[in-house]
Amino acid sequence: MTAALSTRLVRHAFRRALWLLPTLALVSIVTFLFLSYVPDPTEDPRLVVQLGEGRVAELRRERFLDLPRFANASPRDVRARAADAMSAIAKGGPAADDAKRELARLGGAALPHVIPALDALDTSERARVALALAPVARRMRLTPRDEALDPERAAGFWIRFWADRGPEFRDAAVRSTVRRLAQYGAGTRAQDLRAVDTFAIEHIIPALSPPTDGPSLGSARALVDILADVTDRDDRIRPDADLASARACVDRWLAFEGVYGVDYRTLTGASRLTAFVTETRYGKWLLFTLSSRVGKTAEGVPVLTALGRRAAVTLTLVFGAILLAYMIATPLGVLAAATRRRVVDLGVAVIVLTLYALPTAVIAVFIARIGGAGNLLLPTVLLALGLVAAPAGQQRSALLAALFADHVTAARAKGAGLFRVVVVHGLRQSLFPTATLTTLEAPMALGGAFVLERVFGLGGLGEATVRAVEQRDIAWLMALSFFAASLAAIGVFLTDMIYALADPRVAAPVLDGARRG
Amino acid sequence: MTYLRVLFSRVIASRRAAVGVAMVGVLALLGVFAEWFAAPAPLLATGPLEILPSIVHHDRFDDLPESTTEALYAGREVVWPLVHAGPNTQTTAGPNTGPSRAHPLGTDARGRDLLARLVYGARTALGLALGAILASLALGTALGGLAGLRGGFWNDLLVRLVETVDTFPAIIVVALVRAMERTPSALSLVIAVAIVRWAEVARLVRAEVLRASTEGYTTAARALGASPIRIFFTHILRNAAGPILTSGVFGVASIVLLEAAISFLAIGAPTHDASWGETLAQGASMWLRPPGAHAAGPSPSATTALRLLLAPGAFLLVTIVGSYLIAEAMRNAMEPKTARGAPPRPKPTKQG
Repeated sequence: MTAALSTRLVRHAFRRALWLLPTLALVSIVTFLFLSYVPDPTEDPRLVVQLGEGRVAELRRERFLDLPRFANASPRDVRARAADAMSAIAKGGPAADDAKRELARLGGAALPHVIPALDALDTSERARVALALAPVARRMRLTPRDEALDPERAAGFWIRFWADRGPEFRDAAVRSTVRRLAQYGAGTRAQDLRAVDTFAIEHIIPALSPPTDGPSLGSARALVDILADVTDRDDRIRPDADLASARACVDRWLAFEGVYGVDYRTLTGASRLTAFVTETRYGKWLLFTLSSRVGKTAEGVPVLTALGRRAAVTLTLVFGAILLAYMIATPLGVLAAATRRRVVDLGVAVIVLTLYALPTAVIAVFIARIGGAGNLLLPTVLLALGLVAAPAGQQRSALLAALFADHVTAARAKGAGLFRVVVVHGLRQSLFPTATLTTLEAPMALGGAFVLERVFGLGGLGEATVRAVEQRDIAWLMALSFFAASLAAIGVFLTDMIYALADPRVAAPVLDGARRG
Repeated sequence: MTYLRVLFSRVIASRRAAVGVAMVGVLALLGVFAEWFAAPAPLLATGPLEILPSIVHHDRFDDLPESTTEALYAGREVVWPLVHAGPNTQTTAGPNTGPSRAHPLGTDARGRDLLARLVYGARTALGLALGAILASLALGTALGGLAGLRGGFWNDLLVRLVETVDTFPAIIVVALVRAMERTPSALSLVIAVAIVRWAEVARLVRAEVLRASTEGYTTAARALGASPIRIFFTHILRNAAGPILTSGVFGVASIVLLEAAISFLAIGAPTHDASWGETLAQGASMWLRPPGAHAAGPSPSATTALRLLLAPGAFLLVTIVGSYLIAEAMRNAMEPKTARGAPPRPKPTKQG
């Protein structure tokens, strides 16, 4: 190959690879749009009766159903939530009780927005809001406590508190405290972090990672303890916990942050812009299902792990069958083309048609009773039988087309035998068109593979997919379609490149950017 | 004689096509006139006169058990179809009975007449195939033509789209659609299959547009002032009709198999429509896990399982062989040089 051609080839490969990304992005967006209309199990009205409205709302939140699909123009950060809660408390009425609980939950992270806003309220409203902050004062162990509980003095208490301790509520200060706690550990630093309450969550999470050894276990325990204290979620790493359970606990906290993290964070500038995309259902899916924190299958295995394990079975089945089918089909096609319009040709046609028409499922069921359950060999052979027809026909007509070419006629006139003509002139040109059929065969074979998996009891993708449809498990379906699309895109890309590499006649127009037919 | 006429006459002359048309045709007729073979209500009843009540009031009889319908028409002059049961009728014979006069193929595991299930299954399978192929033809022609005519960015985009869609497994699309809907319907299945299949049509149409745009007749038409749309529909599309229709007929087999696979696996909520795949699944579970496993000899359940496996299997086989023969005859008509069988006779005139 000349240097110029290889440069152009690389350029072509690059151009094709560039298309992969938008293609996959589009597939994932379209699939996501599709799946966002799947009725969620939490939409069942019986569930509200069973669990109560608040619990269902929480469940829906944990499944990100409260978020918009693709773009969130007004992500609800701590500022928005605190402002809403404040106005509800100030107004009083039936919504005030919920708002009080909400304000207590938001805690320290809300203080930078609540206390300065107290001035704008009239006296009675200010007292109500300041009283609602009492649980926060208790959590932060502020003294004197009776002052925070006294309607007359609570507002003054908080304003004095803010004048005194306000400077502690600064990102840089808290971040460095967290860093030092994670590195050296110390009771006083932990106290410092508890003193800013939920304000610390935003900075603790980045420092929190699944522990791998003794020291990291210690720092993870210290961080998780603070998280558990400020959020009133009693999920800690116990002193006698081993690494696995500690890691599971950290994973739970990271998942918690994925759902509720934005509640304790103030979005400004760049982070607000990011939240436009990340605080959406699609963004959450991308971030968390792919990092296997949230997406779990029915058995509680992360989706990606289950996908990898099951795909191994199904892909072996599908691609093994295709390989086998080609090994049968190519000689059959060549034989048929070489013996055109003779009995052998007809015999091949009958064999191919028989293989094609045999209902694979029926035969599989018969064979599965005899034996071979849990073994991949029999299903692969069965799946291959049905796939022989297309490549055999393609091989036959491609070879025939090659044999009708002028140079072959010339070769024959010079005395070349049929064998030589087929092997030397025909095969070279006809093998590649047949091979490119693979990318189209694989998706067609998948349906048959699902059926065979069921019959032979193989735990492949089919079983999980049927269950996912039943339980409306979006995480699995989404991961599966994305996986299929990536595989398909890579397959097409490879075929294209092999084609261009193998056949200079195809290569030239393709590489020059001409439109392909 | 136009090109399409030539193709058509070649297909007509082919013995293979004749056999294929006979096979698929019989199934299609069974599907279309299913009520004449198996229906819960009589074809004709007197006093008061009722003609084909199972079609006219089909929702009235659909879920009635056989005994109720029989009682309804007791003592009246009636003409019954071959089988006195629809696909969802609970027969009086009960589940898993062998062939009898009333039920020529016996009943399935849920006490429904097997022949009725299969006949209505033909309607489901072939109806789905027809609907999906027509829908994908419309979509694929429009998009493929657009890609071929516009060129540039749109062409690139559509080529990538076609590649992606073409290689996306249909069964996953169906699974997605089935997960989305609360009550599965035939229409959504048609849409799901068409979503995947249009790409093949678009690829063929686009290739034909690109090939034909350099031909003399296209240039001539353009020189005469024909618009691109007119050239596309009157000059190019006719040449593309052969490959498109062939791919459509080849598609029948894969769509029917897909439908069977979906109902075999029972993806999504159970449907009301009869399906061969569902019967196969009944047979498979019976064959692999016989309820009262006997030590030796064929137990009664084994013969039932065989019946439930082989009967729909035969229907599937006929569909696949029939459509394959037709499609092959069509392909041979387009490529007479490489065709099997006798070479085409030389034409007396040089036209066509």
